[in-house]
Amino acid sequence: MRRRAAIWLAIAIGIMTILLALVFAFVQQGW
Amino acid sequence: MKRIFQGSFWISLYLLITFLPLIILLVGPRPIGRELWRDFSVGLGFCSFSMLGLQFFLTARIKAVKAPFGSDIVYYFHHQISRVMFILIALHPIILFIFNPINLQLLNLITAPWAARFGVSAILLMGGLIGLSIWRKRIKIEYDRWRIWHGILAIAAMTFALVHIELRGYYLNTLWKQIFWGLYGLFWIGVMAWVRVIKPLILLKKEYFTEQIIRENGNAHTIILRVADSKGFKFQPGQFAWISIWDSPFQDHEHPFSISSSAMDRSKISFTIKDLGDFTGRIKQISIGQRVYVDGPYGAFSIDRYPRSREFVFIAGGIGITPFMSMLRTSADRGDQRAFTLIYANKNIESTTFLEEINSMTGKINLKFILVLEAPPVGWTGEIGFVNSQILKRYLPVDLKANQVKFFVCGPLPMMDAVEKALYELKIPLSDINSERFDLV
Repeated sequence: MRRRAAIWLAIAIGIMTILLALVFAFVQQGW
Repeated sequence: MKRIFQGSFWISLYLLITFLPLIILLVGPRPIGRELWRDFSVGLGFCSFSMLGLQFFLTARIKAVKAPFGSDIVYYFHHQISRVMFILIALHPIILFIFNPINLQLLNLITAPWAARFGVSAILLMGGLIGLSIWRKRIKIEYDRWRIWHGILAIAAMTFALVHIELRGYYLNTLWKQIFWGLYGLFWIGVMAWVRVIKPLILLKKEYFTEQIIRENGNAHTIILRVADSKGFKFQPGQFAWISIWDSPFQDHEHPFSISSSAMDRSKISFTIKDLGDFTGRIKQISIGQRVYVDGPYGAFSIDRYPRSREFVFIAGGIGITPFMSMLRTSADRGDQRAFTLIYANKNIESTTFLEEINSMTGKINLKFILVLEAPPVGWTGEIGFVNSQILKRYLPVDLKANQVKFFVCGPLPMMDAVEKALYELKIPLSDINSERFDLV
């Protein structure tokens, strides 16, 4: 179960990174 | 509560460091934005670079980082996040290729500019690194050899990625951003230096010598080490240490083993190691008086973390008994009156390590001992087969109030998966289950 939590944490960090990189890109566009 | 707080702190710090490059890039005067997809790709590249550096942190054996989670989970996270990181880092060029196929020319290392050469090489190195780790056993690479290559490839990938960023340099448009990236790179080099140089130097100063080697049932040997330091070796029962026997700590040939002796005697520590081929098979060749390097203790797998719990259930499989021996021996030495249940699974009587000692302990501490045998002798009236929910149900304490009874599981991976599933079916709260997995890669 703790292993499952570790997998989900890794996936969540991956998704957050993609979202933040998108935010970064939009801010760079002057949004 | 303290564990939740500590755990949240480290996860938050992980996130902060991962996203720090983006935050820094957005502060102060920025270069003119380029195409949206291009900035997106660059954002992914920066964050995955931080993640790559953080991988060194996760495996740097920093006790405070491992305490709230347990070492095995930190390593497991290290494996999982490396896959996520690789996807993100691969997306960085893939996005560039999709939106502008001319960028595919960057893959030609002969004609590509140096920045691209370093970037592409860093990704290839990372792919090799992860592939070697996932398929190490299948392609039959010895653990020692793999570890050396793992370290070399990781440092090379990190250095190449850093050079790629510095050469590309589009976002490092101000002096202080360049300074930040210089320091950021130095910081990661510092982490690597700590793991590979400073830590081994500290280990060189601590002396341990073999005092006795005992042959145990189940094709295992116990090595007892004398601690030269007058302060002794302080540890919590159930913890483990990395030991290196024939090589210096600089050679990165250490192996993790649970301590099997009582924590009450700090002048000696013992490890019970089963012959599984490779390094473990050479243990019996060790000579008396030989110097051993010990890095530890580590791990959160200990009854000492639960002074208020009134009962403990230990579920061990095969050589997974070693941390429990330490906890039982320590409890006996302390005169701990709390209740212990040990469910110990083995192939047969002959392969059951420490059987006699465990039987004798039932008279010293409040211990209920259940041996589960896969191939029992004729006339065996005890439990047969594998540990499952039926067996567990028969022996678990009747009154299972949350936080009162703590469960500890250690053994071969398939057994641990089955036992954790069975405990889950029996509605044991996750926070009451501790498990230790030593399959680092």
